Amino acid sequence: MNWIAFDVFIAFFALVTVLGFIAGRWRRGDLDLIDEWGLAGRRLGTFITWFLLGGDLYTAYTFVAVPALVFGAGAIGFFALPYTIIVYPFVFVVFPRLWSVSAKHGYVTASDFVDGRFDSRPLALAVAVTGIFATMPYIALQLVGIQVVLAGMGISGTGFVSDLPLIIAFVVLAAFTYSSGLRAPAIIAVVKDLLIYATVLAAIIIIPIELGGYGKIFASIPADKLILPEPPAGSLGSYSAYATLALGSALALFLYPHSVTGVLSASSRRAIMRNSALLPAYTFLLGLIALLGYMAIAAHVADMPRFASYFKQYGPNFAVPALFLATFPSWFVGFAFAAIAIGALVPASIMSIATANLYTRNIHRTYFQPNCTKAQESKIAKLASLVVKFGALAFILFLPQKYAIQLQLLGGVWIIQTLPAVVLGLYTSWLHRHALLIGWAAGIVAGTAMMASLGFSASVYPFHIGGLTIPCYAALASLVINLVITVAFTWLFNILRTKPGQDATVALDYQEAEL
Amino acid sequence: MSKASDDGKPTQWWFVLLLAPFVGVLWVPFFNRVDPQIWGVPFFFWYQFLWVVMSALVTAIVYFKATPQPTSVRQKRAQWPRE
Repeated sequence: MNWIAFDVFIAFFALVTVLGFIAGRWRRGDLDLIDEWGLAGRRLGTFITWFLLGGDLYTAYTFVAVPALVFGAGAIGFFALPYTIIVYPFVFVVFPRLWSVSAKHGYVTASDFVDGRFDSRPLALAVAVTGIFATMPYIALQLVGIQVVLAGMGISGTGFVSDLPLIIAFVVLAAFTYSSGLRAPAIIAVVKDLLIYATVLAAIIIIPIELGGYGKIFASIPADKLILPEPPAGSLGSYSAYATLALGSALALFLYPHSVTGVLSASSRRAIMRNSALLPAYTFLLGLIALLGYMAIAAHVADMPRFASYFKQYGPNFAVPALFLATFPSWFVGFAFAAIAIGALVPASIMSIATANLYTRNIHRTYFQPNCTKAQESKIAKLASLVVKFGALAFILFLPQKYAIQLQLLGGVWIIQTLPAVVLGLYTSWLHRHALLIGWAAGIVAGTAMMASLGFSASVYPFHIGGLTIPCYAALASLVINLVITVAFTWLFNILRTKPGQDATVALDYQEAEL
Repeated sequence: MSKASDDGKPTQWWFVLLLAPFVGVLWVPFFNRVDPQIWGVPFFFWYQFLWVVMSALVTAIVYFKATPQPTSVRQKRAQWPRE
């Protein structure tokens, strides 16, 4: 039991707990309104949005799983870098439109927008349900991030006593999210960033010094892990896998409810645009974190006997904790682990708020309580976020971890199916609402089938077209199927003169209103 | 959505620049190599890190060149009709 590390860890944890509760007072608003609780009153300026989105998109799971993938599988794990490079030009162009139309019409979720644009309750429900199911495993995985750092400090094994710290962490998270809403993770994200940037900066300077320099680190990586293996003849191999993983993940990222929540809580569309140029700082950080996977190989942490049982229990996810334990003094280990754990609290909080927003606005209010008051809306959302969080906790405590990982992979394939309705819908209402629903269903079925054939443990499906094998990320492939079907059915419905819905928006709603 | 700058030149061509990061990091065969190395870091890695920076710069350039920037109050009022 590493008491020094644990004490430092607890100190930072206590700090963010306090911050989480007083955050509700920042740019104070009536937290009984869902706009205030669930979107921080749409008042987060450029810099706070940067912290919020940064904490939202670059999660503890990302910090643990990306180097784990590099550690275990090599260069393919680096796809996170092109992925988070190309996402921002895409966001820059597309998402200010979502911000504008949502601010104009009071939309809180992507499903609200789809309902307004396409006037289709089934389609809006499909978008909402997809969002909820895609996000829940992601919340569960943040807990895995906390679990591995707790294990690194000596709190592990099975049984209630060793689960207790995780449960306490979660109760704290639930309490300040309930009380302060989105402002809590926004403020805590500032602390998280200070810790993470400091940790990574220290790691990329100190660890190479200890290991003999970057040249030596890369020289000790086996050739098959250093760069991508060349594709065999007749196949696009790792090249198309890498590119399609990057492109598909980029297209999907901002469709997740927690990304939409981050976008809609900004104070202006310009804040989104500016963040598209500023958030790449986190991408740079992510690249450095990925390199930690290589440093873990070079430091031979997998061979160290004291980590053997942890690698057995947590697999390659233990690579980064092991690396820190092997190279940092105890107090800094506590600091670094606190960074990761806090980096789990922020997205878990935002994700639970985003999911709660979806449930409240697009399921509860639509189907159960259409005339609920603003105060009731907010109350339902707060309760829903509690349910979601404790569901995720139960999932992690009682089910094998691999289920959460598999579900999250599947969630990526599902969430991308909302792209035609949400992204294309921001530009045109030409796509017929029924066609969108059929396309969505086709994409879900196709994508899930592809993943099933891969045993749910991989997401790159090998397509065989005319003698050429093209490994393609299942999300991207199923999106293409979705689009083709959506367009085809739109033509069909137009020929049959099937009524389109009533579009509640006008073209100007998507553009800059007043400077 | 035709955006003209103050002297009437169309500015939407700037958005084409935003395709550069896509080409840069998705054409994998181009950068999947070890050499040339910088400080012992293989090309595969430092090339992608470089694109992080360049892509942010490109986005910033398009932001300043192709989106209307807040100017004086009088110019603001002149550009948009009141509701």
